[in-house]
Amino acid sequence: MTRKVQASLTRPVSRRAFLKTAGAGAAFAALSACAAPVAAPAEDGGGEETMAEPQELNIVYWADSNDFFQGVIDQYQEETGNIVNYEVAPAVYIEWQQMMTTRLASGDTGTDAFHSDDFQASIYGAAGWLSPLEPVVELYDIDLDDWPQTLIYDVSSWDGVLYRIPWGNDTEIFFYRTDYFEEAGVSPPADWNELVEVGTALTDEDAGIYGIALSATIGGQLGNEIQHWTNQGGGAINDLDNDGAREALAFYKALYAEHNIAPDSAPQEDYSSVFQGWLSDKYAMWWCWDGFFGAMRTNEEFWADQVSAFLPPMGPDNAETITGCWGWSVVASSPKQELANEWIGFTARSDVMKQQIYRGRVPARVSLWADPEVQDLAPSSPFLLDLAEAGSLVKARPVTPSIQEIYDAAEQNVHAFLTDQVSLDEAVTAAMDKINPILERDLG
Amino acid sequence: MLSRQNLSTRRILLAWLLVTPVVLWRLLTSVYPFLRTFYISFFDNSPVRRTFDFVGLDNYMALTRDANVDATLTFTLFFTVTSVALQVVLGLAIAELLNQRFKMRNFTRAVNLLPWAMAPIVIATAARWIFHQDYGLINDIIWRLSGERPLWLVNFTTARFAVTITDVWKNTAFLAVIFLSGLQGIPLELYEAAKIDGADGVRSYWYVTLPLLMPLIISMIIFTAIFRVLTFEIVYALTNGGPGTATSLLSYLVYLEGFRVLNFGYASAIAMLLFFIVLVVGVVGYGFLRRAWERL
Repeated sequence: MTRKVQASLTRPVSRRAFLKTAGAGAAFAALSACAAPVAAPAEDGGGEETMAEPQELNIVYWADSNDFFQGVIDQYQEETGNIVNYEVAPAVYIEWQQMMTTRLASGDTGTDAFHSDDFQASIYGAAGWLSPLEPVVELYDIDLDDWPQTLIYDVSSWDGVLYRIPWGNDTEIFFYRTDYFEEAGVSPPADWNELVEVGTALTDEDAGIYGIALSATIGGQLGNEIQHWTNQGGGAINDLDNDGAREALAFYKALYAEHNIAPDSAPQEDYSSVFQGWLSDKYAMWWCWDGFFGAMRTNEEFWADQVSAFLPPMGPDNAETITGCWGWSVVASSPKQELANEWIGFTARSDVMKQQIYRGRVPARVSLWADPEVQDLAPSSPFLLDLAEAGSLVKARPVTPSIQEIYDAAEQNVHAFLTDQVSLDEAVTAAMDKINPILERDLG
Repeated sequence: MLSRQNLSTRRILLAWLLVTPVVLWRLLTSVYPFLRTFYISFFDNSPVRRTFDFVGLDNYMALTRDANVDATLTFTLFFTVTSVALQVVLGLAIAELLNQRFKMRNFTRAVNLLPWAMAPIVIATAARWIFHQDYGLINDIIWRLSGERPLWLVNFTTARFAVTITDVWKNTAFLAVIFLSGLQGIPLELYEAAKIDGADGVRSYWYVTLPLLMPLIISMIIFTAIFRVLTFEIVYALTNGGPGTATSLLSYLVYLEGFRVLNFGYASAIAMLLFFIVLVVGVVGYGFLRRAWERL
């Protein structure tokens, strides 16, 4: 990866551009409300019949439910004449997962469709709790080529069956404080060695500023850290017993234990505390989900050209980052399969999906990423486009039906290593002793 | 006119009629789940893998080989013994203080109960921030005094301390109130008699108060120990069982296996182990309680 390419991937976003497009966005929303309803496919059974007898669709939506989502609901209701009852799921991921697991395992008939993540598509799909969506793709003529293919085939399908249509894209990008970099006279690092050099130049422990933020607490976040760092070393969260993964884990620990460019509290930090630290000027770099990048735009101070992003530095094996998504799935036990399918077809439309930009999120369709309005309101989309254009630099997590078990095993043992309870070898051996039989079970 | 015998029979029938729904309800909500859990513990049961295969004692054998179970049992024992001991000692001390005459005594008694009245999940979530290295209240005080910022939830020993002390802080108030009610039930004449016999405050406490409170103390130790063995929320919200598995408790392990990774069979085996431990605590505690009553 050359510096030139690296520099081209650095794009500060101006407040003026944001305000300008926010106005355009408001106009778009107003126009959307006035626009004629978009007809549902003829195969759906006919709009008149639906209008004559309104049906009730029950959905569960994870994440914030600000006005944008109500707009999506309103549009659907207006177009179809149906009624949508939507429930906002618990924000804490684990609680949300547990809620859906309990419902689906008990053959819930009160939920027709829900907003699902990478793990759920695979876990619930393999369990037979989700409806295959190939018929929906055919019925609504959904062009799956418009999505990042890894999102369709690696994290929305299991055993060749599609269980989810990705709706919002999530990719981990390396974002950084441009003012800190300018002040220290450094450029975005191109590889791990430079990462340490740049991080060292940016760190001022007396002032409470660290080169890089790490969120290594148990509960899924450390698992993501393990995945993206070991992946760059040539390993993976389910493939830790190799030199590349060991090097990555040792390097990760050295960032705070040896180089001191991250706080030594890293093993207890979660996304929430890191984000709080980021907004309190504590960190210069953070490799995390681009949703946080969108969330930073709500902070006036940071919107003044202080935050930008760059391609992840090259690791010993590659310069990839991890990607994933949230999407819509149909509950297999729902008695309203056709209605739920209609919702899936509706949300897969570009104009509907695009509305996520009003909460700062990037829609999953690649064709939308170049849209100027999307680029402005979903500020990470230019970087995602650059990642896509630079080659295959995004990789989905290695999701199998037992991914949660694999995450737990890796996290518990690697965390013990990170907190000096066991050696790296002991951690890797103990983790793989648990993971290998799970993989054998899942993959045969 | 009904005979006396008929009336008695009708009353008994009425009693059965009134009690039966409750008994059935308890059978349905307590006994059936217990028996079902015991049954499932002999199966490889995972809804995700769509398995329900009889495996005999395999799940129980797996418990003996699982390093997580070892670590979890160790901390469960440490947590239970330490927390119960601290709660009983501090509870007795607080009860003694609240039993004294002073201004705003009723208000103080009410305030004492506040931590106990709060939801454990709230306390644990707040504690997660209180013990945070940079933003935590505790470290702020320590930093002002010494310039140090301990890593409470990163270090093996201090993380265990943090979980235990959070639990003690939350629950001691309840024991204090129970012990206070016990103190108020001790006749004043006994203290007067002890005073006449020359007993000072300490001796009076040792020879009058403690023996009379002992059945209450033992029964509270049993209850408190059982609740400690079953503790879940504090670990769930404060440490997620970490660092590593340093603060993992058995209930948390059941949750991980049952609800996170959906291994119902193995989770049921851990739950049965948990039940067995609670049973042992209950039976042994009951033995001590009987002896304490006999001494009285």
